[in-house]
Amino acid sequence: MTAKRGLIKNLKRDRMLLLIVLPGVIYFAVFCYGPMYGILMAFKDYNISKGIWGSPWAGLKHFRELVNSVYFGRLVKNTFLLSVEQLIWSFPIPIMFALLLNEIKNRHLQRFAQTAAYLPHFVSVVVVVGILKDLLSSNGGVLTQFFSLFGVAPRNYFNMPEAFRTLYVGSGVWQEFGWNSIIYVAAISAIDQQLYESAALDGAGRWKQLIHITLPSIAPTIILLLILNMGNMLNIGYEKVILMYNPATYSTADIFSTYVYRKGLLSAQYSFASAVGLANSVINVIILVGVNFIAKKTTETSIF
Amino acid sequence: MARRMISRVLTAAVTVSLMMTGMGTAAMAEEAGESLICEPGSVSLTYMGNDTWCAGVSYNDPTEVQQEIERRTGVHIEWDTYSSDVETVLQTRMASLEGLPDMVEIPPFDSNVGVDTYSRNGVLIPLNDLIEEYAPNIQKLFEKYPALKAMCTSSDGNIYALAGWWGDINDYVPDYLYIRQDWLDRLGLEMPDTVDELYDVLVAFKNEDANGNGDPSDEIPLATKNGLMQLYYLMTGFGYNTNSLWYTDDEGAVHYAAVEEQYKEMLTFLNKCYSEGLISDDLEGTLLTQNITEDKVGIVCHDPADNMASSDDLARTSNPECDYEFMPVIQSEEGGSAKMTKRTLTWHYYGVTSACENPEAAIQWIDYVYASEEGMMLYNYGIEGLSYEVDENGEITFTDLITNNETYTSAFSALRSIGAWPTYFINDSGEAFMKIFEGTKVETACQAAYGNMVDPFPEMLGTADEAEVYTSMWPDLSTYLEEMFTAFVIGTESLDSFDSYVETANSMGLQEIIQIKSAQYARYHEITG
Repeated sequence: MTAKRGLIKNLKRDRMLLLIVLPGVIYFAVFCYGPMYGILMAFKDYNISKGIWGSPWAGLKHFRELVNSVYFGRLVKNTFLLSVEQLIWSFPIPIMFALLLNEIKNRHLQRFAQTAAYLPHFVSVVVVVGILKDLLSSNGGVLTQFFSLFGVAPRNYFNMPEAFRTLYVGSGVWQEFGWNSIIYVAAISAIDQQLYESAALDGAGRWKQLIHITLPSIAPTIILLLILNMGNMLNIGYEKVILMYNPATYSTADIFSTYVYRKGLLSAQYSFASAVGLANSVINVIILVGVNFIAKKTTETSIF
Repeated sequence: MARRMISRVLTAAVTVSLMMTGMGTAAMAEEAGESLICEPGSVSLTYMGNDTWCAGVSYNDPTEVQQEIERRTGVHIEWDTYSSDVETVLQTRMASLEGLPDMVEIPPFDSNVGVDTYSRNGVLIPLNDLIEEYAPNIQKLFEKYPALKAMCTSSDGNIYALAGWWGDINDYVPDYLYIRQDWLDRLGLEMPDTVDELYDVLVAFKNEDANGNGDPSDEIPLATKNGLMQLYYLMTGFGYNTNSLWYTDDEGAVHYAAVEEQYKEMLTFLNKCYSEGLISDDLEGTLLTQNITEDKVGIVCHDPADNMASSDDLARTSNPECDYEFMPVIQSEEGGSAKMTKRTLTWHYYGVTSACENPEAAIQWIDYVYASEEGMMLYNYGIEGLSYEVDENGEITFTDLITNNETYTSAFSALRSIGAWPTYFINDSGEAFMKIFEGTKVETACQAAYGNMVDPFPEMLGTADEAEVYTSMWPDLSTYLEEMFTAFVIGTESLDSFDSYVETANSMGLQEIIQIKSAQYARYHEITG
């Protein structure tokens, strides 16, 4: 009885806080936890008219089919390599950019540089890929002509499996580094200016200030974002890959999500596609938990 | 007493109302040409599928022809059509069973597994009885084209979907390669007939500044429109009788060409051409339109004849002399007899869903737009007085709106802009097509091809088992086949590994797929006789 009364009392006391948290709870319930019901499809032979619950159970059939598929090894490898390469380049560059921006003392110039850098974020990925194809066309592309000045024979980089990841990651970095640096710029601007003043008094130059004040101050932000990024690592969307790949580059470009797209949406194998998607998510969770564990042990910063 | 009174009043009321609706319908029918299906505005149906192929126009904001159909049939249609990513939208809507339309274009479009899946799942309703009772014109169409009936009939004998019918138009419209006649003339070359001649032409295009702009290296001798694999069209140059990957031999056995020795010869040839820069390295054809416009493309593989005219228009913006000409079928030797394969007999499938509360009205409406004489006039020529006139001899002439349209320069687009030549319940007429291209070189190409083409391999609906095998094997297998074709041609894979490629294809289920195709081919002949 007392426990219950205590609960009601607490609810009454914190009603305003609860109200604030409510939209978030509803968002996650409706858009994140609700759809998880659909995971069931991966263990069933989904029949549209019977619905998810009414469809017959299939056990691990679809997972077995995935693992036995001739493409499984390639999908794992491609998805993993593309994610890793993406992380290696797209994670540190925004940090460096934010640090560089911080060194520009002219406010107007700083603002201009930042805006110019994050503008590409708003360009549709279709357009970005189109521009890239045009620039690199072996028949009159601007970059191809430029390379030929240095004696490089014109070739179509979009047909070279070994060039796919570079093109994908490079164009991605170009498009997103400015946007991703915003959060670091914000973190830097929150650093107490007194720290810099006292460091200057102690004789620290710009470089020393960067190493000993700026970086350590934004380190928690960096680690937090790193963990979050790692958790999303294998979640590479299919849209850009589909725009960029062709049969000549499947060997490095075909990843889980494009496979799900072809199997699930184009061939209507919903259960199988769900199984592939679920497998992908499970790997993500494992990476997230692992990285979080390491971060907790080594830096005492973690998300849970 | 009271009871009798009531019944009398009721009878009277019913009689009066019957008379009224009867009169109403009759009066309306007189005005609209007796094609009313229901009291105008009393029935509303939804249709979901592709939007029109005419830029700047949408069915969602009904065009003249759609309004005319609604006026004449009395059936109101709520249009829910999309111009991009249609398949994804449709698949998700169908799979979730939420907000199903009454009539739907069935995804996935490029295969018929959707019809199998959705009919077995009960999303599509059988149409046989409805057609028998309400759709005399569809019955006539089936009688005229047994192949259409065969392709609409599922393995359980029911008809769950109507195929977009291309059997008529594709007797007329060839789909093959076309070449820059003006380039041939400039270089003093003949139209190539055999593979060897073709090779010489390609080399000349490459090396001799065919477009005459002073830059000998900007020509692309041969480019594909929908992916490199389309180059299989050249297989007639290597001993095949026609350009079709699926074919039957004299004994009626079904073959898939891409794993045969003859085919390997073609791959060797293509590999040689590619390594010498004779084939465009824009594998997906993304830049094709641009390259045609820039006066760079010698041969386009492949496109239907009418697109040849639009390619002319494109290239003439930079070179007014551009003249694409349709190519004869490439033979393996002089005087060969290989023929072109017609384009597919059917286009996407259309069905009525279980959500439809008035399937009788739906089938009558479909009967009108898909098969009736009046509906076909609207379909092919638009509206009398607006897009065409008929003189006393019954001769049809298009109005200025079609032949002299400022926005839509081709008559085809102009017709589409008012809603003719729709994308729903397709049943294209070859005669009307020829009318549109009267007096052009497209007409010449069509006349040359008429009666000279081979029927395509029939795409039949599968049984439950077939569909299961097909959907689990074919997507991976076709990816593999396409990937290897590309690898062999661009040289990332040596042709020495052709045997292991065939082995892998078999291990991925090619033989099972061939068995399925054979069974379906047999069923097709059972129905068409």
